[in-house]
Amino acid sequence: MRNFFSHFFTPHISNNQRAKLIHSQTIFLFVLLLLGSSFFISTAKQHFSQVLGASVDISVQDLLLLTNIQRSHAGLPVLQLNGELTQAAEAKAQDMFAKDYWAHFGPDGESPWDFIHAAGYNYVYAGENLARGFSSAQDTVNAWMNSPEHRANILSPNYQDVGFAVERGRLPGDSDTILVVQMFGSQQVVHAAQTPPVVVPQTVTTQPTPQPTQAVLSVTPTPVQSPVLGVVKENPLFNSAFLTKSISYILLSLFVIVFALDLILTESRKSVRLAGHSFDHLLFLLSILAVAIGLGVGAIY
Amino acid sequence: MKKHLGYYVSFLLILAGGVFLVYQSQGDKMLQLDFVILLSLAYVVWGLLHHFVHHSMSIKVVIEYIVVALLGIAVVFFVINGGL
Repeated sequence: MRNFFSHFFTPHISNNQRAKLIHSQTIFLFVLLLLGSSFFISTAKQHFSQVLGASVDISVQDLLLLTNIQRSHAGLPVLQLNGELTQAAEAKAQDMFAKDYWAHFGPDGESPWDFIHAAGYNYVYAGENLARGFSSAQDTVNAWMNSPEHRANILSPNYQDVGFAVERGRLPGDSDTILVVQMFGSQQVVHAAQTPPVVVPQTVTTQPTPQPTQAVLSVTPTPVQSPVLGVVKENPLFNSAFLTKSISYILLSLFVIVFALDLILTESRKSVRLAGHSFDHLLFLLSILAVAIGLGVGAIY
Repeated sequence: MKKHLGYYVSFLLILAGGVFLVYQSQGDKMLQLDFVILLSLAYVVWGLLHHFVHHSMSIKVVIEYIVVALLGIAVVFFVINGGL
């Protein structure tokens, strides 16, 4: 057992003063194994999605609740889920998938306001937050709250209504991603000081909340359609994201430890050999570990 | 170690820059993979340049740097293509 350990993990006479694990042939074998496993998992995900796949749980209800919790904490009134803004958000999501872009403004100059107008919502104030690649509503809202611009939208006293779209599709750089569009708006000027903070409701109504009557630029409220609540929820038996990330952490840590051992032992023994610098490999693999930790985190815009 | 200080400082900057670019391209998996390939390429070039300067270059060393770079790319590809 001790010989096995020495042979595979430490510089030893049996392995020509270089741990067997970090011989070029062994590393290349791991490269082939990783590539093969990657294609195997990718194929298994397509054919057995109930067993293996990336876990996702994002719903409009959760996004609305989490957004309103943030507003309540800031002493602001909650936003009402609005059918027209939901329609606008869904149209924006479909447009991004159809025209393959990831931005507030489309390639033909479409602005978020165009979608809001087209849905029949006559806004005085309007705003938009986008997110992609997140696996939960909590992560999505947390990412928005950590960005000053997105946070300003969520905590703006100017908005009364909100609409969401949660859609799965293809965006630039990703053949399969979850896109979240959050559209804010108000149809009349809101006087925040006169509006008492409201506790986050247990149930969500789609009817507009009456606002102070001193509004200027108000428009006639239009009937609100019952919004379609988007939900993307997948809970396979094995979470492929967790599985592959765990394997990558273990593998990289193993190589980092063996290269560190190699560095320490050869330095202490003053061994002379023709090989690459273990410190270089160590630093490179540590940066790959840092990259692996950051993979799979979504993006906001 | 002192005579290698300049090399390791620049090497660390290259690696940190690569990791920063990957984090900046969150959400775009293909762009992240492209940056990892660039990072690996920079690692190979910088590592071999160091060996070349110190007259310790050999085909064995070249292969070693290439397979370690391939290992880094394969790990990232494994997570992106297999898991996410």
